[in-house]
Amino acid sequence: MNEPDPEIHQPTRLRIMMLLSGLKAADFKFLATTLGLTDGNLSSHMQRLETAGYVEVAKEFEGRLPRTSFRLSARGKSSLAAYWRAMDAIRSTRP
Amino acid sequence: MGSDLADIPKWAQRYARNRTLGVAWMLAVVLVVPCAMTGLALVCGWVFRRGQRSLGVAGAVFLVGLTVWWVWFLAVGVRRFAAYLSGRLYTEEGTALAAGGAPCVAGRATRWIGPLFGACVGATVVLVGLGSIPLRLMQPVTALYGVPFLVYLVLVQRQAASPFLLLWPFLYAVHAALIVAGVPLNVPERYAGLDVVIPMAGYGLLAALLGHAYSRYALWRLRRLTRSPEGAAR
Repeated sequence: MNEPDPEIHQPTRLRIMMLLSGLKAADFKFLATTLGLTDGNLSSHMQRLETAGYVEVAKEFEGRLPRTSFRLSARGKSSLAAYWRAMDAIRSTRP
Repeated sequence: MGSDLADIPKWAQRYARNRTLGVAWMLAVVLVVPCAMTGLALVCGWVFRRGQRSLGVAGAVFLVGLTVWWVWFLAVGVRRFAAYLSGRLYTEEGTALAAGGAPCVAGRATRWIGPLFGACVGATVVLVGLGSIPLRLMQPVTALYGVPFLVYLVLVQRQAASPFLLLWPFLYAVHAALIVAGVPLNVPERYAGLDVVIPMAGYGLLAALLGHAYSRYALWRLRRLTRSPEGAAR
């Protein structure tokens, strides 16, 4: 049986991935306020997801203010689908 | 899939699609400016007739400048203005873009849909000016092309646009049908231009405000679904 992907299995990162899967893109502020996370906490989760290649990051300036946007990568989408298949498989073997 | 978690993408999409406050504000401007221009034109005429000709002419010159700006705004600035407003109005919530739309189809079609709509508006103005279309029926005539145009605009972006915006052409069509049926919904003839502007911008404003109200509910649902133990402990 496949183990669930540890990068996705963590509750907060799973919620981030699910949130991004419903959107074209979302910025840092939206993710932080919606999930109720501190900037530092969200940063560390996004760093892990970016390192895993699950999210794509775009940095741009709005006037003088920097804005960081995230979107789920193709790899992130397929990994999220694989994660839920693995979870379904685990559930189906439950006595 | 956990049922609560499975709902997150759905509510995220619903929230992002219904961030329509920028559209509402834009339509409020679209509603207010022609009303102000009509009022200004009436005041200029009144002042001119009372003998204060230089003041009347100055007002008319200002009105011409305002009209030029208005045409530019509707043709070029309106989209940028809506995007700017949306960014400002939702600053506290951050930015979330709805997935989807059909940009390639929209891109191809807008090449001829936009000019066609403009030509229809121009033809209506000319025909009303020539007396071929009675002033009373100006709004129903504009509904003949305005309703399909608005439906097209919403449907072509159906994955990204608020479904509430479909109320806009629906109410405009109902308004037109009521006028044709003889219901007295027309404004006095001297303000005839507002017969089109008020329902067009007013129903759009109503639809956009309903979309915005729904986005508040969607955001509330989304936050309840996405608060993880880390977030909840904050």
